[in-house]
Amino acid sequence: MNHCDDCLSLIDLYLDGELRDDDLKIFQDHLGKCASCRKRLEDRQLFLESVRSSRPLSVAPGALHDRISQLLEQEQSATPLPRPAFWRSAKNRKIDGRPVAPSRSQSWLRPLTALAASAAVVASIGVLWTISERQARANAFVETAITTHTREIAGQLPLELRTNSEAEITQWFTRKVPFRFRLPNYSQGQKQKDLYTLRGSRLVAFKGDYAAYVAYRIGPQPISLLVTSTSSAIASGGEATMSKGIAFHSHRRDGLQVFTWSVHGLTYALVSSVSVSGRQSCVVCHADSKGKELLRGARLDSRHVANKTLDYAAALRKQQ
Amino acid sequence: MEKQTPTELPFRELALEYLDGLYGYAMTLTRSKTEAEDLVQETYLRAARAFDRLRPDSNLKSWLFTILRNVYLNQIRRRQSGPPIVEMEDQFSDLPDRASSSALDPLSAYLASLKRQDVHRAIESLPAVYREVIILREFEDLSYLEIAEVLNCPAGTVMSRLGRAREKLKRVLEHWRTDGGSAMGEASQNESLR
Repeated sequence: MNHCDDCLSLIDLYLDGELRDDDLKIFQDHLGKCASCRKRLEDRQLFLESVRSSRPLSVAPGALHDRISQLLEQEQSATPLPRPAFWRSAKNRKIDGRPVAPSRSQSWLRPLTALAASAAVVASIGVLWTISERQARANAFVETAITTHTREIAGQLPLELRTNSEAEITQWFTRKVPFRFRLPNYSQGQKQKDLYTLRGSRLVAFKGDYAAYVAYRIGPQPISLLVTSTSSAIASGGEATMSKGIAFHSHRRDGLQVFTWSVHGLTYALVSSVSVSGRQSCVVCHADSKGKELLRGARLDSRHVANKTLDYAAALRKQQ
Repeated sequence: MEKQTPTELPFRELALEYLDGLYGYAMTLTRSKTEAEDLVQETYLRAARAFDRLRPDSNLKSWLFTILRNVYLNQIRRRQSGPPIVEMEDQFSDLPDRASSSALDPLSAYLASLKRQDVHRAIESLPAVYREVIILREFEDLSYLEIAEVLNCPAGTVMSRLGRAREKLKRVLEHWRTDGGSAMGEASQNESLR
């Protein structure tokens, strides 16, 4: 790409995360060389931040929610459930292409066996579906956390609020997210304040509502935290580690380490680079007695970022 | 083959997550609370009845927005009011594009201090074709392909329309800043164009 005019037309695509592969590389190469286009990108980013920070556009009246909820409930109860496949196949059973009627001796059993079989199948399917749905939502949350983290670092999803103040971020999220969210205040006698640098926050769409995204830095490494309510996702999957009654789930994807956990009605996903820290940093991170106690209670492997997660979780839990 | 639903959760639980977004989009299209509520309600009923035909890999959110828009278009056709959304020149089309002059960049500082309501009013002042693409992208986070599905147009059209919509929005905001214009005044002025 030699012309800034070409670059201009790609700025929106870049900020919307629609630029990929070679186009993305060419664009980034040009940005690296052209201060003028970098300035244009910053301006556009600032403008879009202003627009997006005005979310939400509107909130549906509570009465409408109730009315639609009732209507849908009636609609659901009025609609017969699809019959299980086995029922249809049994009903249409054929041998050599001809329908087969149940024998007279078996016919009286059919309603009972069908009922029992239906109940068993429905129960099994229900359990499996519940598990798979929960897993699907947990996976979607991890994916959203990774995508947001990656795009935010790449400058494609700008922070809507840039600050290093926990209080400002907590205030900013008030009434923007459908759950009560408070960041731990490290100034309250903890030693982590110097360890983490808060960078800012933004809203992220997840399951039809907004999740809270908070960006940090530990040394040069960007770390992010995505928070949603447990009604949207519950931490699940990955390698689980129990500590103080909280299950932490470790996931590795796309070269990133993600820890998820659910507590007090909220689900958290902490995303970081795997190579974020060394053994020494754990000592610093868990210098306080509560952190050490938490560490003793956890079966941790060599991924020291887990220690930071546990510590962070403890701080969050303390805030609840 | 037995019909499949994309998930085992009841439609009600899944779909109600998008109520605010759908209502906002309905308000964008109708500009009437009563009509928006009716439109959203009709959308949910139609979606509930067709939910079991939704492919498991489909995007429920963009599907709901698509239904809402189709219901709206059908209502408009029934009223024989002609096409509801048309490209139209707005009152800002002849404004100089100050935003492209990055050397001055007078907008940056102003935008940083913009209030939420100002942005909403500026969006309201845009022609309908631009309003809806701004809503779907900036407020609902739909991708270009998802927006294309909702608007039933090529992704390239979404890209160009979104670009124009953003430019117009930017110019409206800058126009207010430089002229001290009234947001409400601009919005109501544009309302008469529909």
